[in-house]
Amino acid sequence: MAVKKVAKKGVVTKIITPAIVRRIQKVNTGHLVYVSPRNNNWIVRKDGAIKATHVYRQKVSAVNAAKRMANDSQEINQVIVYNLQGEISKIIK
Amino acid sequence: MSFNTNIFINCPFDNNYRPLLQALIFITLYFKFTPKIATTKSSSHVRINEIITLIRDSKYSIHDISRCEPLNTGELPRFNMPYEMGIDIGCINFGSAGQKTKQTLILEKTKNRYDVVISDISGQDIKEHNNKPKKLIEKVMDWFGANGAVPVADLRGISTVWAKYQECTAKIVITLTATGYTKSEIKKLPIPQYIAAMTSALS
Repeated sequence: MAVKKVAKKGVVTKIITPAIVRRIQKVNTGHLVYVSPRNNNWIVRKDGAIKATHVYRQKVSAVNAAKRMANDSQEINQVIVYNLQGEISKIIK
Repeated sequence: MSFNTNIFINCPFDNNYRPLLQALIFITLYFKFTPKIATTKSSSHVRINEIITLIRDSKYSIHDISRCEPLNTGELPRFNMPYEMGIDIGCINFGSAGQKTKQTLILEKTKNRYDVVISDISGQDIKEHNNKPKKLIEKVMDWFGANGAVPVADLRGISTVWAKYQECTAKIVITLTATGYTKSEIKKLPIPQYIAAMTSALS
């Protein structure tokens, strides 16, 4: 059993194949809205825009606003939330 | 030809530094440079020889000495970064005419911390990133503009570039999640694979 586990563990190593590379290229970011920190505030920004559509003091308010935006819009269907380090902390569909 | 577009990146590879390294990879690829990182080479060779080859083959180099400190209390600090930086600066000073054209950027965590760690480099222009990827991208762009690596007309504002970075990371995470990668696997993506993913996100 233990050997199987180890073997299974070894298989976990994944490689980004050319197919995945092509999929990354093809991702349409037009349906995304971003929530990220800026100057001690939290901003909501549509894809392709630099300026924030909304600015909030609280992260939760920004996330709620982005969710509302996604609900109201026919195009936007995912909210991408970033942390202070610029990493994606959550994807809300 | 590749000498002029290669950037040797000398930085730590621990998880805490990961967001900064990813930003560093992004900004080099964004301006069509090739990041040269020691981990992209084969482990069957002597590591320092590989590093020397990377330094020799790169016109530009970015040295981040912000982690010249112990990872945990009671441990000894790591000196790989200052050592490799020393080789690069030696290469500029004692190397061939081509090597003397090399350009170097030294990054630190906070302003003047290097005065305590390596006071010999006090005369050099060292940039601080405060452990913030956005600030790191801004400093690298400033450096590209200052040394002519990127024509001023091609430089963009930090907000534009940062928005592009967010867009690229979103593309990578969405695709990898859809293809079965877990959150931790995405976070620990090997550097060569991250470079491949970021290259395709930017294309």
